[in-house]
Amino acid sequence: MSNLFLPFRRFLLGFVFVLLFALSGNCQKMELFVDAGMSASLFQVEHIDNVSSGLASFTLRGGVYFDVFNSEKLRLVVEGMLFNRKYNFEIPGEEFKYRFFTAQVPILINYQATEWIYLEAGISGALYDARLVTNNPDAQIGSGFTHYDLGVLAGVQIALGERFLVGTRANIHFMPMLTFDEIGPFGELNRGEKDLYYRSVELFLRYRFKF
Amino acid sequence: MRTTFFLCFLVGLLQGCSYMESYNSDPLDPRLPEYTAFGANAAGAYVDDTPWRTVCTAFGDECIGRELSYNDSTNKTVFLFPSGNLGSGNSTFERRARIRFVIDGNLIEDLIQGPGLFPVRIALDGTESYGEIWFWNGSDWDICNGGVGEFYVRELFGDFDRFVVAGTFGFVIDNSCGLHRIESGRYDFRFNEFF
Repeated sequence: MSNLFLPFRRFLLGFVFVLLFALSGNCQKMELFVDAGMSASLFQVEHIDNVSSGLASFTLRGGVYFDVFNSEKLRLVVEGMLFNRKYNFEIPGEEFKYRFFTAQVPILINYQATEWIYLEAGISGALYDARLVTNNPDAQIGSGFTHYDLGVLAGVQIALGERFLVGTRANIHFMPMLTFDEIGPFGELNRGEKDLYYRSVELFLRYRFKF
Repeated sequence: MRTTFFLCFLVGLLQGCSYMESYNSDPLDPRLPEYTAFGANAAGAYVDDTPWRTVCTAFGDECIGRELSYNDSTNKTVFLFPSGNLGSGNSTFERRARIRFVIDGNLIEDLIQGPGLFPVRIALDGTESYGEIWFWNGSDWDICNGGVGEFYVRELFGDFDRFVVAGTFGFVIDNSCGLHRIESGRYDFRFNEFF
């Protein structure tokens, strides 16, 4: 049962970190937001065959947005988001879906290029929990999945009135999501191999709850 | 009240039994168990590129179907894995196989009483030490022996009364039985006694 709450606990820790960061930096504005959009998750895979990658999927995520620093054109923004990373291991007759419940905290520099267009770029930290969904009742997820990630992201947002934004972002994460021991044809063991690097391209519509 | 306790006991027992048949999947191919060394009572390999997996039906610590024995007269150690499915998890009983190793000498005694340096690599030369693949033909086992390759013991801990042995393997059979490749094998078994 405790595993069920593990990702939430991690997210709360991240959230507290963001909150402290925002408060210490004289946070000027806080907003809640909901994003709905299409996301293409791209897993860079070297060792694993039959992994579906680049599949577009509908993503609904929610989060909190802190406007930490605000000048005429530049803002420092911290976001906290919850969503799922996912890929499928495709074998005829069997279904293995890997799901990574992710809490992501991007820290972005946001530049107002025109009245309605914002450019953004920054770094991102993520914590996630790996789960296996399968029609094989005996299979449990094995070990080797790591639980954190670091990356960079860049994007564009266009304001559609006071509460709506449409945006696009590209995420590149650097940490291997999987560390494993590879067993060769004759039983030779290559320990500590690393694989599964996460990339994503997303298009989203954001609704902002203003206080 | 007694009925409730009995039902709880029954549900707990059934859950316990099903749990013992589950396995931790290999992250590279979840159809196979991952390599472990804690007594998972599981083994897996690719048999002619088809995944083969065996997970003991176990009651308590006892794993049914695997054998590890030493024969004084032949000076051979025999390690037989339980029967397992070939192919997907929905394979029929006819698509079953077993893997057996015949190894020269008293392997377990040598390892338990030895210096404890692992991994130990045992060359399967096809004659003194070799691997076998058994295929179920619907009424009996078709046995192909003389496999040439490697058998690794990567972990062995405990004593003669209770020990865990785990490792990896791979071998090729190319004789009158045909060409069979058993690749990327892994095993992890717990034993309560050694004969």
